Amino acid sequence: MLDFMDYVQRAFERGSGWNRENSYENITATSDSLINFAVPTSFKFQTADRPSNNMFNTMEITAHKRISGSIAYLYTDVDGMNELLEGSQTRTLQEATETYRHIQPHFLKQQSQPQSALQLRRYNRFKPKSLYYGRMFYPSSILEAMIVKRWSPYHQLTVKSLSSINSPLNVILVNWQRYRDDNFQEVTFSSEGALCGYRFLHNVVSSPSKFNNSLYNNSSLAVGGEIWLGLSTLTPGCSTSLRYCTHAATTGRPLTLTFSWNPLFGHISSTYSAKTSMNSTFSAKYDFNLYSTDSNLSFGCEFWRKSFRTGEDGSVVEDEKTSTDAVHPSAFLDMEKLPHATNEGHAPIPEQQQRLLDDVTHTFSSSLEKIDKEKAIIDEFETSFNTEPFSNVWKLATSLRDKNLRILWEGKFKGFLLSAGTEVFLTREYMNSVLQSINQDESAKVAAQETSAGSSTPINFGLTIQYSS
Amino acid sequence: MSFRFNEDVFRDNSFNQKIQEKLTSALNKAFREDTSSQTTTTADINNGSVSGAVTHSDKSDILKSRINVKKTDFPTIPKFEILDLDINTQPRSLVKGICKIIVKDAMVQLNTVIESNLLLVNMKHSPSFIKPKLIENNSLEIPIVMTFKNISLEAISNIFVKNNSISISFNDVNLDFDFDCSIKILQKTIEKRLKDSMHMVFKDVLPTVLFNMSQSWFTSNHDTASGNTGGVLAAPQSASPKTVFDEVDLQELSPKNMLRLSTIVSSRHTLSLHGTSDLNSMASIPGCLEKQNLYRFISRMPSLSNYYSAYRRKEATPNANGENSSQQNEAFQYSHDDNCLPERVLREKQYDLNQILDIQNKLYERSTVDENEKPRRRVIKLGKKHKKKTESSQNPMVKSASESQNRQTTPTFEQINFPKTAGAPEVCSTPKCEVNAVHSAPAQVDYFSHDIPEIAEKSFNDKITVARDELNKRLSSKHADFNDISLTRNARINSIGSPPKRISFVGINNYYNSNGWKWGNEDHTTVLPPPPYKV
Repeated sequence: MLDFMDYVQRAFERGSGWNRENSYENITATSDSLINFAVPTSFKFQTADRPSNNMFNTMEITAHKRISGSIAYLYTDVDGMNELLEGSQTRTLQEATETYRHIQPHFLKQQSQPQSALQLRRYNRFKPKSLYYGRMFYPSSILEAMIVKRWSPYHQLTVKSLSSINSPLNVILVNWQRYRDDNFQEVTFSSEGALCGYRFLHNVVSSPSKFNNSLYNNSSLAVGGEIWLGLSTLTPGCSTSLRYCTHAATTGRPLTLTFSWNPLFGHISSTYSAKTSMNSTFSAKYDFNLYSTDSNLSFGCEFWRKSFRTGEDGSVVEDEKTSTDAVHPSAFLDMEKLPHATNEGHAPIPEQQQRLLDDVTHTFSSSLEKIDKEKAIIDEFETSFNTEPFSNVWKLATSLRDKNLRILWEGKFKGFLLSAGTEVFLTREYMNSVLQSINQDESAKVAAQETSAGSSTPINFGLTIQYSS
Repeated sequence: MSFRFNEDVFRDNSFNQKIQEKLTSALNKAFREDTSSQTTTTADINNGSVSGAVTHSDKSDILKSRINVKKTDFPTIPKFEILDLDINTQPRSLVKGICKIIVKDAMVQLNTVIESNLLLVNMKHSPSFIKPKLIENNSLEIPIVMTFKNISLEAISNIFVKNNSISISFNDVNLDFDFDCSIKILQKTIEKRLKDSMHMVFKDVLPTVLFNMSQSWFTSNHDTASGNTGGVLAAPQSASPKTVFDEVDLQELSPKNMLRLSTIVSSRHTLSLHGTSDLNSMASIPGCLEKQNLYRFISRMPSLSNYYSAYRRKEATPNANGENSSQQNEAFQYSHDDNCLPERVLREKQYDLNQILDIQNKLYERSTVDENEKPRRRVIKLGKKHKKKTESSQNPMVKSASESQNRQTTPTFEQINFPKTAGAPEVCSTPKCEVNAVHSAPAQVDYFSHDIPEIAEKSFNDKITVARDELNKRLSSKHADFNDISLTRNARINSIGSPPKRISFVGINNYYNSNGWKWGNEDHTTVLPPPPYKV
């Protein structure tokens, strides 16, 4: 589940006209949200409030071995945040969770062409926008701070810092991003280990396909790479990735393919994610290491469900929708035919007239119309998914090498957003490493070893409750 | 003292196996260590000792698996050469030895799995808020094999055996080995780091480890220690006499040593010290004082407590509870080195100022080089109330007059009742500690020891300190008794120390009393070197 402050930050990005999907960081966001989703490890209650349209605060209480909490404040000067944000009562589940994200930079551009005048006006008189965020943790006395600045429509500067009294962990992270002319560039510096990084992403603009299998060009290709170097420890890191998003032209269902390669450590991973129906999404990921020949196969899926009460009406509606969604362009003609067929029963049309009508439809179903139809199908699928009143979602992921099963349930209950997750481990070593990364101290590791000695399949469980007005 | 370097341990292959086991367990004890942990391994190998856990505070978990010691090979027996052995050299150590350790042609092979993606390791612990998300930043584990060949160590080490521990310092270490790493890129850096940290290991790590280990062995049960070192015969815990030697052992030992030891043992049984040394001389070896003759020396030392030792017996006070009286007894027994008047003397006003003056003069005379230098004294006026308690004295004019006489008429202290139990455990402490020293000596060493009630020996030092504290406390608490004695400071007289401070006399007794008695060069006919006055 998205943290409320993350939700606000995304709203800020939307409000300031910044597309986070263009960042190289998010090039594998789709498969990550399906396979590597975060499972809550503790009981967490979060309540958020907005005293004004530009001010937000969050209070959070976490109970994991000991009770701790945090208070966060956020201020942004973007206008109309109240339109972009919704409370947990009215927010749709699709917005509240990390789910399949179909990334389509060009598609959006084409879509927004009618309102380009508005956009142009916005670009011309772009007002600098900024976001200030601070969060204090108790009792660990850790302070998080973040400033996001937008000086021009093409740049975004993010400064994050973390400071703590007790531990010597004081880090500042500066991130400068630029997106212009389909090129995304990003420079990052972190004071922890003097880590420097450069990332770029290029959205390949392709001309409409020469093959006529899909008249409407809805695919997008992005190529990117990153280079990292920890100056103090001289530890390098790099990777290069490729992402291809498209729609099944017939059904309008989106699918995403990514391919990443780490040349330094010989790691290759490829993912394939597809939204197979309105309710379900599947993703598969294959990892392979060229040097050690280690491989791993991971699966992830999510199932969206409507609440039981509205289930009966919803299912009917859904069936209708899927039937309309499933319309094939060739079957489109049949669809056209269908009303005539029904009309036939009432007032039979002569065969000659019918043939004429068919010819007319053939000749008038020009390519332009086809494009519109295809576009309509995709749009319809997209909007219908976004407006569907889902009440809960199940996410499942498993990995063959790690032999684990992660289950996450997210849903809405009386205005609260709930997220409950568990992780079942079948191998002990992996569990220990996960528990260690969660707890990050030695005592917990000892405790983990004790638990592992007790039960063969230890379970890690957590629950998050979020409420925002 | 006698011990044997047991070469048989090294002859068969079991030693190599043992080393391998010990190394594996020791290396994996500090599992989350950097490659610097391997430096300790070589050091431990070369000394043939059981390695202790050296915990570096290195949090990087670059090691992904246990360190397995694949192969160890010690083809030659490590040479152990004693260059010098000094008994009673230092005030705080019983034995000082200089040894040479030589190990040649040893070989050790380790293998483990390391994480090659250091960026992942470094970023693992940073919080997610400021952790940049990297694509495809996965771990790549690489197995690594490290071979140390032709390890040759030549070290000269100083070994100090103390009452409860051993400290070893390495002076002249020559360590050389051929290093071979399966990852050639890392070979140079690892080798460089190993050789750099070798200095630290021998200077700091190893002595600390050995010291801690010996301390734990000295204080904890000796049974495990004897199990580890094989041929070591542990001193029995109980005070009851027990024979720990077999007939075979006796044949190997020098009869002269055995004769001496048997006299010591018999003297312990009979509480008679006559058999142990010639009665008329302080030492059988010229220039040395033996422990069993110590009481003689102490009794000849001029001291207030010696002179008034008859009064140190506890007076029969009906209100004293049991606990208190036992402590008092201990205090009376062991505080022979305090140059203080017993409390009872003051209370009963049995002191003779002239006698005290004599003793003070004598002490001063012993301490000053210049015979003509006159002692400067405080003038005490009686009848005035003052909180300070010091040695009473008289008019300096009278003093100097009487001094010349007193020098001739030295009071004899022979008739005092000297605490008998104090001397006997001291005698035993020397061989005892050597025995323990061998426990943690690097090589397998056989030695013999005789039956010594080690409890008595151990508690002896504790008792001394307890007793001293107790006495001081008591004296200070009884200030009210000395209210009738007060003093006015006379700056002219009191030039020994700065006037406001209390003078405490530090004689031979006080200066060397804590553990050892160092005056081995002194002949009993000559005058002692002057003990300094300390303020």
